[in-house]
Amino acid sequence: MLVDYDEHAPPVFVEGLVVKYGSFVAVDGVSFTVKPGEIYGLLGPNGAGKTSTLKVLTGLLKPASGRVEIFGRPLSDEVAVKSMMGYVPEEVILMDSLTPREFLEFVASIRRLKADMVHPRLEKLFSAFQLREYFDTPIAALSKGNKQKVAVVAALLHEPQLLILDEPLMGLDAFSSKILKELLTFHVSKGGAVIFSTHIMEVAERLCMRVGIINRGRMVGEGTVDGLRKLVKSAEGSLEEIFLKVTEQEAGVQEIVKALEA
Amino acid sequence: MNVSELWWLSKKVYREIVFQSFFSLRVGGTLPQAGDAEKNIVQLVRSAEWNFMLNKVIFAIFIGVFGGFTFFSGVLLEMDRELAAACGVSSMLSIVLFMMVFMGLQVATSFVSSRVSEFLTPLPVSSKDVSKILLMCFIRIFDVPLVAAILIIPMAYGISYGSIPGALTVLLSVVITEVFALAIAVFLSFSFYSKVVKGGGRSSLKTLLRLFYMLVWIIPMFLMYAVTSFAMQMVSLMKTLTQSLSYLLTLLYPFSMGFLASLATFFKTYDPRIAALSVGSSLLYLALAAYSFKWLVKRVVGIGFGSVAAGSRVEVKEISINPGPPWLGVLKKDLRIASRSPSYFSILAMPVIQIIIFSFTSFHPDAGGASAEFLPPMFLPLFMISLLMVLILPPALLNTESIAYSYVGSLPLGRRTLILAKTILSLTVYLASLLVLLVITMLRAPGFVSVFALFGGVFTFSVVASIIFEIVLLSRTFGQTIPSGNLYLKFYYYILPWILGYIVAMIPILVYYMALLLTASFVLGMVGLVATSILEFLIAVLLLLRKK
Repeated sequence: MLVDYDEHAPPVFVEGLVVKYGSFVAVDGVSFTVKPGEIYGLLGPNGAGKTSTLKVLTGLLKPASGRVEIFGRPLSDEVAVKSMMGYVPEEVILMDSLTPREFLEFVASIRRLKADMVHPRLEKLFSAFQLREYFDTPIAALSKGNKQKVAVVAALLHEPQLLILDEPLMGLDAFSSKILKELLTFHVSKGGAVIFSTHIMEVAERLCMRVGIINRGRMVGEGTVDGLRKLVKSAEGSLEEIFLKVTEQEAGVQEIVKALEA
Repeated sequence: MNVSELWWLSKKVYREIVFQSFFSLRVGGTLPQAGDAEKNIVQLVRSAEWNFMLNKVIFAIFIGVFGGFTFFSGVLLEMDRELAAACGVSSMLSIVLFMMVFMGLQVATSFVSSRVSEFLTPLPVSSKDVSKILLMCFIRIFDVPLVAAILIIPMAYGISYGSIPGALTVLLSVVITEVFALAIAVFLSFSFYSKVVKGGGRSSLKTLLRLFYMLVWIIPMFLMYAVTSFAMQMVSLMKTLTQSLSYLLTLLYPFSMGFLASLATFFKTYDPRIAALSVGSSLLYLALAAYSFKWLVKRVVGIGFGSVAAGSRVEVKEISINPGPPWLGVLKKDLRIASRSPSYFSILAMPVIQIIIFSFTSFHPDAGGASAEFLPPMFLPLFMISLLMVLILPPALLNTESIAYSYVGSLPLGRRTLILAKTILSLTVYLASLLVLLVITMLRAPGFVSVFALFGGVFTFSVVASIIFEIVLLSRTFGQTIPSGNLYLKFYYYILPWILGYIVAMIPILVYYMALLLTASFVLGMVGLVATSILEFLIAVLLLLRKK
């Protein structure tokens, strides 16, 4: 489905986002922007609020407060906003009783895709991710990695302007990870945008143009890797070191290792 | 490990299976999103456990009530005491068999698919102990109905006939029946999981095979339903059969067991040939039960260790799909899920099957002095019951949206499209049941066909309105998300919209009968029916158009 959108508006605009689960505040006033042609990495320790933030962007969670816009459109414009994005959830649970063929047919129908437009793309993606022999195998019978690949194909099927990926490389083999990384780079080179969360610092360092570090629901650092180095006053530190410094976990690591060894 | 430790461990595995039987397809749904996540999930686990226990108790009560009814109705019929005992025990055993298979099918698939041993095998527990834990867990799943049948039936027999050997024989028969029921349930679940859920391919043969397994799956359920509807007729039929075909019946299960119990009670007066045949055949069934038990233990342990076949790989020539409009996409997805999920399939098939069963048990077109101008009195209850079943469909179909919600929720699916798809599918089932009713009417009361067709046709508008009202109400109740958990667990969410939907559907019928009573004119009654149905339909369409 083609949706009119403001090309000058940022693909993702988040201001003062708050997400609550009952009395627990999972995301506490997070603000950031993803620009066109950019891969933005959302980093943070487990339970920091990354997935909650991404779920708000996809319409899966309602925020308690804050302003969120996708290409200048508010999230209340649900169908139009969701038409412009492709999403891979952290925990890939698809419809187990369907086959990838049936599942993708469902997704393509909801997205109003035409068969002649979707076939060449589907053919290429299935071949690239080495999924051809599983096209008619029930999803329940696929390995975790292959389920992840089906979810990635479903997210890329309609060539969305914005890709929202929650730990997309988890479970993928080296070959498929490489393919996906190349696809993401190609996607942004054409003006698309990507926001993804990851725990793999090397990937974030190599792939992301900018990163945002969330800790306990708050944005504790944002910028390019070089910019973050300046922020933590370290000239050569890796993103992992920067991450540990920013999230105040660096000292803790040594203490915990010593305690474990003792 | 000693038995008490193993029994304690088996409770942990059992709780996991119970949780999975309610939530297996819905992980990644709305579980952690509403309220305080941790509390919410603890509540869900408890609620699943309570619901499961309630199900077991209900099954035990069903066995007692329906079984008892069949059992004592044999005594009430004017029959020799020998035959009454044989008939009563045989009917009772068939009810226990159907009930246990039905319950087993609902739960055993969760056991088959849960990979329960995955978290047990890495622990320092021997394989032998893991097997024991799995077996104990399997017993826990069925404990209440198993124990209820073992205690209640022999006791009821002992009290009715005052015979301890007879009661002990009934006890043995119940145990044999329970073994058969569990073996059948596990066999069907295993086949269902490996052939339907995990089997791949897209050929017509595969589709036929899937349909066959689905029918095999739901047949016991409807047989049980028929047994409860036909209980009285069944006993009468068996009275005739047992008198004329005694020799042949003594060879067949469960009659052989019935005759054996009767023989143990009245052994002095028994025909020696029937006695010999029933003892011989019962011994054979005992041997078969012993073999089934051995197979059952092996299979349960095997399933626990993940011996279910992996999915097949099929090289496809062309990677192609056939997308359609969004409402059709949702409808096809629902049908595909239903074709692989016995619980959804049975809900879809229920209105039609209900009509068939009720038309033979309760529909007497010639009763009550009905004429072709007026609807026969029995038509209305039949119609109302069928409608109750049809109106369960919208909540059930809406509930499928919670499957894989963590992904599906991100798709650009508008509310209007969703309501439209669910309405079309529910309406199709209503029209199918109406068609079946018309065919039955054509066969049993041809004079009423035109009235039924007119009534059912006009009433379609009201049915559409009720379905839309129901879904709109449900989507308001849920807000943005669909509740997690299956239909049965979250029934309290659905009950109010279901009742309101039913009231909406009943209004035109009420108007029809009021007009008929006040004016004694069929034409005016129909005018009232048409006017109210169309008015409801228009309001519902307006409601639908207001949705995005």
